[in-house]
Amino acid sequence: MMETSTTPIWELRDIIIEAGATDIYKCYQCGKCASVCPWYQTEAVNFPTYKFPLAAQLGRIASSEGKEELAREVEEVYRCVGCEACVEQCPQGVNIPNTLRAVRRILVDYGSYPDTLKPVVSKIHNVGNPLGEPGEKRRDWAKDLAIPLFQPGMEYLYFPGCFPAYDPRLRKVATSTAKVLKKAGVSFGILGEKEWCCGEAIRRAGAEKIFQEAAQSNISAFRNAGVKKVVVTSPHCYTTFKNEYPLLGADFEVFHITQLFYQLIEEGKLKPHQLSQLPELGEPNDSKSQRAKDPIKVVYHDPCTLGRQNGIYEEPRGVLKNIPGLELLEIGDFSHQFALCCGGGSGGLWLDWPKGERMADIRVQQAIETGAKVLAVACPYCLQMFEDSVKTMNLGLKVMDIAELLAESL
Amino acid sequence: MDNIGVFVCHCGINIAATIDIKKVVEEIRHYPGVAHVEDYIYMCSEPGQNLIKERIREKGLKGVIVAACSPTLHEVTFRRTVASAGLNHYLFENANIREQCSWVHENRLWATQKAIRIIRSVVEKLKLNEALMPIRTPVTRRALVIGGGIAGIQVSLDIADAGYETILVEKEPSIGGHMAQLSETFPTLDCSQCILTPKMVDVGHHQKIKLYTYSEIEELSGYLGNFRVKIRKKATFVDWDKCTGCDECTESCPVNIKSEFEVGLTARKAIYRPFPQAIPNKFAISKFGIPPCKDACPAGVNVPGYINLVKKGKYKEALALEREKNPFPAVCGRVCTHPCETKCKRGEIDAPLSIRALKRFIADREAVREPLELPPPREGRVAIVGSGPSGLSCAYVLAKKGYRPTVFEALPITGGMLRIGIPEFRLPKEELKKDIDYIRSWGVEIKPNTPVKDPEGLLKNGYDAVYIATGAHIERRLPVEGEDLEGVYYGVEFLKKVNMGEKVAVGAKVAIIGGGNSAVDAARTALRLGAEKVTIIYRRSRVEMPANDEEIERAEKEGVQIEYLTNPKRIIGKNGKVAKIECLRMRLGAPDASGRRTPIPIPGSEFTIPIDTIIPTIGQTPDTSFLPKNTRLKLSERGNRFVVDEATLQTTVPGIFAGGDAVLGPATVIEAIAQGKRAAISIDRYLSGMGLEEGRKEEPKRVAEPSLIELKGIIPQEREEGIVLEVAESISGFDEVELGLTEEQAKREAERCLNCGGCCECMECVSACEAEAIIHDQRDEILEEEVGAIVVATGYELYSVEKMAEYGRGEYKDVLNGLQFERLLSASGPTQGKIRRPSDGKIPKTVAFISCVGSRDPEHHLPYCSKICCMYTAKHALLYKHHVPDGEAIVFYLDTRTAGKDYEEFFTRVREEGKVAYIKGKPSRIIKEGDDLVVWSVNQLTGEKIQVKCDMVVLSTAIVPSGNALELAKKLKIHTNPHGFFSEAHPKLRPVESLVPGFYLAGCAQGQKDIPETVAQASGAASKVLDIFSQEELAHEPIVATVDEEICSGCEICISVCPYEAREIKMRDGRRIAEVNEVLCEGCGACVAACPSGATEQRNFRDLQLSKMVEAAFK
Repeated sequence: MMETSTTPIWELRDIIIEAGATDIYKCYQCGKCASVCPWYQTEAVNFPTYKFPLAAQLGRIASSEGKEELAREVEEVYRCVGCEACVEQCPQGVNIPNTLRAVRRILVDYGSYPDTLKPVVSKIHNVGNPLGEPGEKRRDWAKDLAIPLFQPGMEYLYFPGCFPAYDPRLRKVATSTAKVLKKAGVSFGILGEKEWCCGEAIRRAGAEKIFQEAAQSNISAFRNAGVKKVVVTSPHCYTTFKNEYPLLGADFEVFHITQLFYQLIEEGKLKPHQLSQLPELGEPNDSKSQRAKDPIKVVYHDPCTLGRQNGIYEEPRGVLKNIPGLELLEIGDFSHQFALCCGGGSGGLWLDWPKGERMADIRVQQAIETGAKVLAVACPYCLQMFEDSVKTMNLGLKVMDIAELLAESL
Repeated sequence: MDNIGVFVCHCGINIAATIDIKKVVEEIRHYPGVAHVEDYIYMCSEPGQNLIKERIREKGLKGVIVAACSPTLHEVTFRRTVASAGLNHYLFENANIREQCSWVHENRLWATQKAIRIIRSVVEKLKLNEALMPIRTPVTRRALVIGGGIAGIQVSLDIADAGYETILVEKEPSIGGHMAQLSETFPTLDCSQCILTPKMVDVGHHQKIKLYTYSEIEELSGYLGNFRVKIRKKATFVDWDKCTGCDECTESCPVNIKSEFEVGLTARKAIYRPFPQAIPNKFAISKFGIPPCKDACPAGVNVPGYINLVKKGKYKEALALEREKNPFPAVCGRVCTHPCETKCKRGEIDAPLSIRALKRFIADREAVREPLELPPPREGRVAIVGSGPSGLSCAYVLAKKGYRPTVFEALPITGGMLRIGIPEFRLPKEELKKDIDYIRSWGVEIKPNTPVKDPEGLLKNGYDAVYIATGAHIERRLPVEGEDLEGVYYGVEFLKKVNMGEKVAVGAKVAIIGGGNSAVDAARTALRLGAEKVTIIYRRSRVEMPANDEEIERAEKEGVQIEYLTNPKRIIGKNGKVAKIECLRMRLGAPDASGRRTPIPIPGSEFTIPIDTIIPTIGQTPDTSFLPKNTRLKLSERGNRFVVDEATLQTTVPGIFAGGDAVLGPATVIEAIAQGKRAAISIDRYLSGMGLEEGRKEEPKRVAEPSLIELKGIIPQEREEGIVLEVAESISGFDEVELGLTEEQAKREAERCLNCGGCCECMECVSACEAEAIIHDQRDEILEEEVGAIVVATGYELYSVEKMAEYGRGEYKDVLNGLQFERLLSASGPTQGKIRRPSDGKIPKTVAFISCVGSRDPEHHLPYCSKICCMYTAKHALLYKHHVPDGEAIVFYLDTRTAGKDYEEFFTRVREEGKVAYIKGKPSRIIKEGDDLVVWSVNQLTGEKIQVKCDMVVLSTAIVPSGNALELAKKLKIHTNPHGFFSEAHPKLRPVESLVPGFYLAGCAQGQKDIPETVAQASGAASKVLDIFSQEELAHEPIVATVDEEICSGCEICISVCPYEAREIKMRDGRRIAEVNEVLCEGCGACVAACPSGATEQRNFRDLQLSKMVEAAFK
């Protein structure tokens, strides 16, 4: 039975604060978070984020007795994709993703978190990646490219991350990246099977202990190999390496691949050529001459973790603007700090929301309305989420990583 | 001192609960020097005070200590008590055993011990105290009030009504402040102007109020009772003694500027009065600095002036204005290289103005030339050598001053390079003649066919001064083999022949070498002479090409080909005639001295072009060969330029000046004109016996730069270009290619001017003003006043909407701030009180109001509540419904704070009467969808999403201190809080005083507040000032720093640490001593701590006293 009144549970409040929800008392209930939340733009979901700090103050999050009621509450706690759009706008600096992460930690400790996430966590624990692929195969993507293992003296460790290392579609992002780096004469190597999942997503899903395992594994692997600079494909690896690993004893510099690409262009080490046409972008009705002359319209999507959370807005755009024959478009009201999340963060990638509850569906629609033919991304999660939406919605939009576009132009 | 009485206070249980009073009394009783100890429950009560008085008399006490609360509370009370019993004030000491002991400790034993130590320590201090008398200072009974809003007005009236003279300084041209902008005031809905203007009129008429508007505080010195203030009276460019406020001038002014009073909703004129009820009823002219175009013009032509006159259709006046600075409008309107257009700010929005075309337009419009009024003739004969633009400009300026200069020209024609070097299809002879005729009409005599061989000789032959402007006519030779073959013409010679009407035959294939305007002219001339193929060979790239862009484009359109990055290597002849040219390809290296990148030949890149005529046009150099061998005129090292003083243009021979190309080498027409004018001023000074340089040093210029934000709101509009002949028609002859702007085009183009400098100095107001009050060269004045007290009432401004990315960064026209909405509501506002939205004038049918914009947002903006927004938003919503009864008002709020008399009742009225929906929720976005604005929020109380489609949104943006508050605080040396609000001495008990004596605060300068509070505070500040003025003399605390003159070494360290400027070096018997100005000294002790020699001590806080205190405390 639905409860019609609540009683504060102060003990649970204390546990939630202990688990990391430190700023809940700053909230003054203005509600601004709810209308910047990406769920606000979905048709089917009402997700009043502002209630969480107050609920935490009363110890009434995921506190229901009834099984069904609890499941419903857990589902709600797992809606947050950690995009931090609310953090960006909150007048008082309340971090709602952080509040919910604290609650998730408690749920994971009790094993009451969504079933779809459980195998992901155990696969990372067992083999070091959420796909459950064997570690030996982690190098396979680089087989044909003869990418050396990282040796002391090399400048960068290239850390492709789990999906670009294993996923057949995303391997193309890793290979494109490696090709570009080779072309620019960058000294780099990879770690191969010593590379573990960075753990960012499962940490945000509440699996703190497994995150700690993954982080320690990577930190010691980097240290043993003598790594000083790491360049990553995924903004998720970026943010945890940059902002979280140092607190666990890591000592290396980290760059997002778009930062390095932009720097290489600025230094004149990469000179993109005219991008006259993309092989995959065949539109049968276009005459060839037309296609060669008109610039390819590309719209860029700011990944939340790269843009809002780490302030990297201009370098990805800088790379795209330097590709001749490419016209860079923006999603007017929803770019830069206002970019709409793809829905893949904080475990969202593995939570299959029904139609009408998918942010990516809305985002690709926004992209297509700009007149773009290509949706450029700089994050493997965004790429997967958007490609799924493009497929299910049957849209004429190509989703490509910036690395792929850049490789095409070289 | 012995015979000290110690009185221990229980302060109810405040002290007694933690401190064992009995024990304290027992302990202190035996302390050396203490004659009497007694305790009482409330020492500050009347019985308590009487007890002290009685004991002083009974026991003959020589000093008194009260051990009680902090001296900030009752020191004054007890000083008065001991004084009434005949003791000196300063033989009383307060031992703080409450704030510093009982309140901060829990352990009774320790607290009691500490209290005993505190009292002993104070006993030791008191033993060495001196009896002191307050320092007396006189008081100047005049007040200074800074800021003329409602706060400043109220303060001024209160003080002046009490009979004291008040100086009111306001930075805007009128008093009134923001209250004058408001429509109706909450909660009573009184018309703001109706209740304010009577007070403004009172100020204007008050015998005791001296009003300085359009003025700011420059500097302040002195102290309470005796301040000296310097006030900058900014130039209004209108003589306010003469201005009658008749408003005739605004009609005449062509310049529109965003109205500050209307918060940018409409424009005002550059000459303006903020609003009709302004006090004083006087006009001022806004000048923001030299406009960038005028600054870029070597001749300093007032570009915005004539452009604005074109806007008004006053072409004759425009031409007259142009000719004040430049006698060649027809010429420059065609061939000027227009550096003005390069600097034109409009270029940052769409394209620079067609300034040159507008100049030509006004020159072309001149139909009848009216007879000139010639000035009375002046003594002094001037000879000018050369009738080019420089010589004639010099002659023109001199003629306008009354001289009758003679211009000697070697050629049979006049105009110099303008006549021979520029082809007719760019500058028709007739047009040149117009300008020259105009110059002649001022009494300039031109003698053609009269070469001058010896300029120095002219001085001997009756001329008093000479200007050499012989130009640059020798052509640079092409340093390649085959340069002497038949078929090689040099460019200027080629152009000259064609211009003089000689027949010149060119071959079918012509190559021009060079990239300047002459090269392009030569190419286009060759086309017109029948060449089939004309190629320009230029060694750098297009970017570096010095010819004007539009000329290059036109040449290309006409069929001229340009080989960039190409340089001739040799000319190959056949039978003594040109047959081919061999060229090398170039690449660009590092920039050279001119800033252009140096061309470097690419080895092995040779190729040949078949050619039959080559016209090298690679520059000219002045001809000095006509000078006699023994000339005293100094030439440059290479002998090809006259050496002159840069500022005066005088040569090495006094009385002989030189300029134009003869000095500069080949330069532009406008530079030549500028030099001619400069020489004329020198010659005038030379002939009138004035110093050549005196007063000519350029003052630092202030170039007006509209900010990017100002440029942002401007709608792009296409640049007007003159009609151009069709290519086929143009290359068939020498008819002028450009036909100029039509009148409609010219007017449209003139409208594009942004008036970066504000007033364009078109002088229309001068003719419009019957009172002859306009003074365009007025300067700021600095005035000095002496005052005794100062009230700061500088008010507030609104936090910028541009900082709100989520609400459109100020880019949406229909998103307004509160003051803008006040203007829309106001009957005197830009829409006469009809609610119309700025974008399209439509009546908005749904209006959303968003509260707390920028306020209560410590993460991004300001942490504080702005206090007035809830109430004015409620008022806005209601007034909107009064104006648009069928409209809908919706308020997004966080909390609604209505603390004030009748405020909550008003809030209720608004909701009920206005049917205003209050939604709890802070919107996160305003999204523009077509003409609509969609506000995104949640309805927090229901948990639902809400998106409201509106026609207009009003943001209640935060209140911040007025922009120059911090700068003023620095000048006054008074404190502000971190947000820039002036700090009061005590947040509760001294809310209208500053921490620094003599300064008082009123209105929003001190903190956000509404009108009733502001007026109350203003009257409070006034009464504080009157309190000062009511005293015969002011008493100043005598606990100040002292100097032992025997020890002081005059090291000045104390001067650098003193925050009150109370220390200064004085000479005493030939020694430097850092004296203390006792009146300025506030006894802070900074200098005492800083003094390295121990020469400085503070009265009753002497070093010995302090060490005894420490000793007693730790014994």
